[in-house]
Amino acid sequence: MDDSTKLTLQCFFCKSSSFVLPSENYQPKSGEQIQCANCGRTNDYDSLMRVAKRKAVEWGEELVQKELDKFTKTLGRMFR
Amino acid sequence: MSQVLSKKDREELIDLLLVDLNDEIEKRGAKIGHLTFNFEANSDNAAYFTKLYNIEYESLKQIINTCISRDFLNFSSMSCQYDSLRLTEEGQGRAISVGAADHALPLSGSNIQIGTLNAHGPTQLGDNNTQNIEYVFNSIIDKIDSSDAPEEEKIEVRNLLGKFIAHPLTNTVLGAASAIISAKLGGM
Repeated sequence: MDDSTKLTLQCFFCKSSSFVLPSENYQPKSGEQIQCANCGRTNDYDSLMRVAKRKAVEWGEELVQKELDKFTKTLGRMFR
Repeated sequence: MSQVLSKKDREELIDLLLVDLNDEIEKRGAKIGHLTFNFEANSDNAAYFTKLYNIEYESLKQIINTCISRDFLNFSSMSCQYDSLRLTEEGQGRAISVGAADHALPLSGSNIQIGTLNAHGPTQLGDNNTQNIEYVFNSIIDKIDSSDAPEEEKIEVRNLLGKFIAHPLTNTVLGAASAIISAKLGGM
């Protein structure tokens, strides 16, 4: 089971995942706008996080569904 | 012949459409998934937005298709009809970003050059410019006083300057400096 995935924030305007930050380890705060390094437009950080969290949930749900399908098949074999 | 939108126009219209749809959702206090929009050719929305953006329906459809393709809008049913489109989180995110960009402060430390400033005499850039404003007005007042003009003209010019300084707008812009300059003019 692949139990990890990498989620990146994607610019709403050009889908790039590179953003301009003041320093390498800078952690944007809620309410901030971050600038896309590709198209230069500013993105609402909270909205970017909301989309990333939803994608994480979708990934988790998909993973659970796959495991459930496997489990159902195994159960089916056991009681055949 | 159908209207052909440039890439720039298309992006601007996508921004406008998403902002308008998000405004409608927020105005109603709804969740993005709970409100659908009808964009069929004969719908009220199609009539409203084609008139608002001054575009043909085919162009509006092109914008909507681009939004669907980029996950800004999606169909609420499997039928893929334009009568029940929903704004997605990506679409709302872009709409919020467009709105917030108007008053966003850049995070980067990049150098930004805004035109060229030619300064003469003592110059100060950035905040706390009161000192320079005072300097400019004090110089004007001193030059008026030391000029060879008749006394009535000097009084008239000082009065005009006093009126200008006392105007509420000037007062707002100059802040504390206006009070100092008024005092110099003789408490006008």
